[in-house]
This record gives sequence, C-alpha cells and structure tokens, in this order.
Amino acid sequence: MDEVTISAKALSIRYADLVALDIQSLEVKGGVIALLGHNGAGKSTLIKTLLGLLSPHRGEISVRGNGGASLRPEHDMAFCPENGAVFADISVERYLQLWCRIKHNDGDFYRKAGSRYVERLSIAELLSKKGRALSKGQRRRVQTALGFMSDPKLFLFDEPFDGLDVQRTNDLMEIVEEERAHRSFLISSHRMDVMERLSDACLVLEGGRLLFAGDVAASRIKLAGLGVDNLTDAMRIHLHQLRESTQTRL
Amino acid sequence: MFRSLRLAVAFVRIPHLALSLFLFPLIISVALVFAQLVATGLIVRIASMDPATQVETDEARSEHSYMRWVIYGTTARRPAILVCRWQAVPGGEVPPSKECSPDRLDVAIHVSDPASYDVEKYSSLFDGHVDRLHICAACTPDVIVTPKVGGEVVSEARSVFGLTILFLPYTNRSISSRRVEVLRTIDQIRKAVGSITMHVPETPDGIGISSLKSTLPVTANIASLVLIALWLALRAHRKVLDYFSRNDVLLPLAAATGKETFYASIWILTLVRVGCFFGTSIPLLYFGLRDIVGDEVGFSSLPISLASFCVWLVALVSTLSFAAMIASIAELKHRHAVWTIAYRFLPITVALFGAAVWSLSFILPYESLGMFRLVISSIPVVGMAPIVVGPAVSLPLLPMGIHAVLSSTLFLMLLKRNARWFAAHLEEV
Repeated sequence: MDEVTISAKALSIRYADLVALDIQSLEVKGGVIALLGHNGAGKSTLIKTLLGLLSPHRGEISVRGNGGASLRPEHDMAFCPENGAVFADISVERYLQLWCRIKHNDGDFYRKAGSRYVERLSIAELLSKKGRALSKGQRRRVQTALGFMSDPKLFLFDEPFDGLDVQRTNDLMEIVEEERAHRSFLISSHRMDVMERLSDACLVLEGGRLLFAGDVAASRIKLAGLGVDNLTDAMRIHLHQLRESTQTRL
Repeated sequence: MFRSLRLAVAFVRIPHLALSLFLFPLIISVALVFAQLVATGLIVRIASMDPATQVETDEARSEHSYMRWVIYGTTARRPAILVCRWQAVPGGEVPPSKECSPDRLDVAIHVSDPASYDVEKYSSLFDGHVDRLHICAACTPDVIVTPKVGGEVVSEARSVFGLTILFLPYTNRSISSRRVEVLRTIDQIRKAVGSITMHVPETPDGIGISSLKSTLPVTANIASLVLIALWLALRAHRKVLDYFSRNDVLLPLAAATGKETFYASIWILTLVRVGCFFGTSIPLLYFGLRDIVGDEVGFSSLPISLASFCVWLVALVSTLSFAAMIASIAELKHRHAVWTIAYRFLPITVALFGAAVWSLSFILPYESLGMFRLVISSIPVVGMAPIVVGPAVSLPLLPMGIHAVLSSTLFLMLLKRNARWFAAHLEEV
C-alpha cells in the first residue's frame, strides 16, 4: 500500500495582514489522509501550497513518498477541485485530448493507457457533451479520470463527496479503495462520517492553525480515554472544547 | 521553455481562447490604428492645406459629392435645375407642367405668391444638387424652405435625404473661391514668417514649431501604438486566467503543468498577441503615415538620433507600464481597503499635474526653468507628458534615459513588493 508523509515546519501563508495558514509543526503519514475543518479553516490554502501554487511566506512544507523522495507537484500529484474542471464551450472529448496532449504529449492517450479510467468512471457516455451540459458530479468524474491517467503518487481531492447521494458516495469510496494500492490520497471534506471510514490518517485545521494530525486508529485509542469511540464525535468534541476555551480566554 | 511553448500551442487550439486572444483584439486594434490614421490625416491635411490644393479639392468636391451619392446613388452633379411656379386653381394649386410633377427629393419654397417670388437666390444655391425647385404655397417634397415676413427663413427636412440636400449648397464653388482667398493670405503669412523655431534653454536647437505638423503625428501615433500594445498585453493575462478560472480549470491545469511552466505559457501567448498586433499595425501605420505626412515617417523624420529614439521607446514603455502597475493596485487591494481605489486615478492625476506644470513653465521667461523642465521630464509618471511628446519637442537624451531607468526600477520594485498580492489575485480571478 502506498503512503505519503506530509511534513511542515514553521509554515506561514499570509495575504497581507490575513494569516491564511500558520502551522508550527506537522508530520502526518497515510494512504488516505483526511483534511478536515470548517470553511475558511485553511484547507484550500494547504492544498494550493502542496500543489506548489502558493509559496510559503516563511517555513517549509514537503511531501515524501514511500522511499523518502520528495514528490514534485507537476509530476507526482493530481488535483480535482470541488466543482470538477471542464471547459464549458468544448466537448469532454476535446478536453480530454487537450489535457492528454499537455500531460502525455499524446492527444489519444485517454483511448489507450487511460481508457481504463474512462471506463471505470463512465466517461464514455459524456464524450460528446459540452462542459456546460455536465452536472457537478460529472465534471468531477472527468477530472478524476484525468487525474488518475497521470498516475500520480498523491491525489488531492477538494470536497469530492459534497452533493453526492449515497450511491455516488459509495462508488467514489470504492474507487478510492481500489486505487489506494497504487497511490495515496489527501481528501478535503466536511463529511467526517465518510472520511472516518475511508481514511487512515487525518489532519484537522481551524482558523489556519493545526488542531490535530495523526493516525486515525491511534487517535481512536487515545480518544477512547475521553469516552469518545469514533473520530466524528472526537472532532466535534475537540472543536467544541476549542471554542469554549477561546471564549473563556476572551 | 519547450514545455511552456507546447502548452501555449495547446491553449491556442481552444477556439474561445484563439478568438478572444488573437482575432477580436486584432480587429479592434487594427480598427483603432486605422481611426488614428484617419484623424491624423485630417489634421495634417487641414494644417498643411495650400491654395492650389484647396482649389483642386473644392472643384472635385463640387463635381463629385459623396452626399449626392447618398441621395441619388451617383456623385455627379444633377442636370440644370428646373424652376416650377405652381398655379392656383379652384380648391388648391397644381404644377405648371408634366415635367414639374413633384418628387420627394425636390425642394419647395413656400410663399404666398408663387407667380412673382424672386427665386434666383435659391435656384443658384440648389442648382446641380436637386432636379426641381417648386415655388408653391403648400406642396410637400422632403425639403421645404419658408421665407417669413421680416426676413427669417425656416427650412424643414422630412427625411435624412432631405436633410442631406440642405447641406449640399456648402460645396458650391462660390464658397470655395472665398476659402481659397483666405488660404492665399495664410500662405503669404506663412512664407513671410518662414520656418518657426521656439528657443528653449534645455534644447540647443530649439523646438521646431513648423515641423510639428510632421513630427507630432509620428510621435503621437507611435506612442498610441505602444499604449495599445500594453493594453493588449495586460488584457491577455486576464483573458486566459479569467477563462480558465470560470471553467474551474485554472488550479488543476496550473498544478498539472507546474506554476512556472503555466505562467510562462501565458507570457508566450501575450508576446505572440502583441507580436501579431505589431506585425499588422506597424506596416499599416508606416504606409499610412507615409501617405499622410510624406516619405520620411520613421525616426528619421524626428529631430532626434537613433539612440535617442530607442531610449525614448524604452522610457515610453516603462513609464506607461509603471503607471498601469500603480493603477492596477486599486484592483488588487480594494477588497481589503476601500481607499486604495484612489490608486486607479493616481497616475493619470499626477501625469496631468506634471503636464500642466511642464506646459505652464514655458510661459515664464526664466532661463532656469529649462533645468526645471528637464527635472520634471526625468521623474516617472510626473514627466509622462513630456516623454510622450519627447521626440517632437526635441527632449534631450539625458532626461529620457533617467526617466527610463527610474520607471523600470520602480516598476520592478512595485512588482516585487506586491508579488504576493498579484499571486493572491491570480487565485481569486
């Protein structure tokens, strides 16, 4: 099973006076890492930083693979945003060709080595449709297939379960389970119940700061002492305690 | 670099991007250059019109009028005008003959006594422009002229064609001969005064006022070309980023290709876009200006050396870029501090202030103001106006050089200082 280690030290990302992310120390290892937190917690900023799209104001962050080698975003990572990604005015087929030409220097890559994912994610039925005709879920499927075609070591998902019904949620969880033998995942989500079943490590952010990072199984044992038997409840209690302590300090 | 190039080529294959990046802006830009040439041509022709050319132009205009083409479909003069005095009959009035049957494009003079009214004035005015002149009490073609008691005249046009007919007499030869007289007088004055040069202490040879009619159009046209190119370059970045962002493709694509490769490809597209614009507009402008100003339309027509011309171009590009950078800060920061919207108007306000001070300093008779003007010309943004007209007013090399260096340095400093803002902005679009 493939695992990655995300490490950060004295990491700070700021937009002028606004501190978007401030992590003193982080080390989390896992095959499926859940990135949890409320809106504005800094999840998207962390993803953009991992992808190399944002440069830290200070400090450093790195992602290492099984062998300890650092992963390079453009070669070893793939990303699927919350809304998926397809140009509204061109067909899915042209988008796949464009992407494959850029990424694999072969516009027909999706018919060859990539066909497995076209089939697995039921993209064939969407090929003739233009981006604007696709639902949010369909757009995510297209981008997910393209991400897998790049054979990344780490796949970053931003809110992949948002708006999915039970069936689609289970389908996506199944795909992640199938793929985790070949690659790792960092999944940002509000759906703690789903993430608890899927992930083996988690990373919780609140207001740009790191609340919790570690192994899910270990944290369960640790949390059991607090009378909590699952991660979802643990997170709720943790966040509740944090708010109370903040209010007490104020 | 090769990967960026490959990426840029892939982007161009997206029809929407190809159209919005290259085709539409090129058409608009070329149209702007064309409009600029037409305006320059008009100004230069008016400024340099001599009596002989005027006679030629007026005669041509009198014989072949585009207004007549609009009305009749031909530029040629109409046959000699037919004067039709309408006759009173019981219950109304009738034209005197079959040839006088009224047409919409005729002119009617409404008078109470058609039989005796003196129409000489009107028949000579409209001769060659309309076929019939009706003298009647109530007939209604598209143009009706009513002389009232007391000398007041009211003209009524009932269509655009009728309105055009009312303006045709302004092309008559009688006006032309008076205009030629005026031009002859101006020409005599021009010859008597000769070539005019204004002495200013900062320029050894002075400013050639007489030659401004050729140097100013060349300078102004080159400056506006640079301005359009900068606008195209700025818009190119926004176009691509906006389009990708709208489709949620920006982040996945930038992540998949690497930030540097991605942005390098946008730079390539920008350069190609500006290159296409220059490739189209420079020949158009060169040959257009050569037709308007004369054979020497390159830097050789300007009273500066090749080195000064190159420094001027650098100064022009850097000062306009610096001003654009200051203005764009408003867009970057206004969500965080409302007052930063003032940045948008800061460069133009400072540049106008600088232009006013620089221009007014010519009025005062102090020799030391020469140095003052050089200092103003050297300051970025403040000296934008003197830089823009630099070659036409023989601005020395030194202030242009200082202006170029300072503007470029400040531009880079501002870019570096606000790099994080620009990066954040790119995420926002």
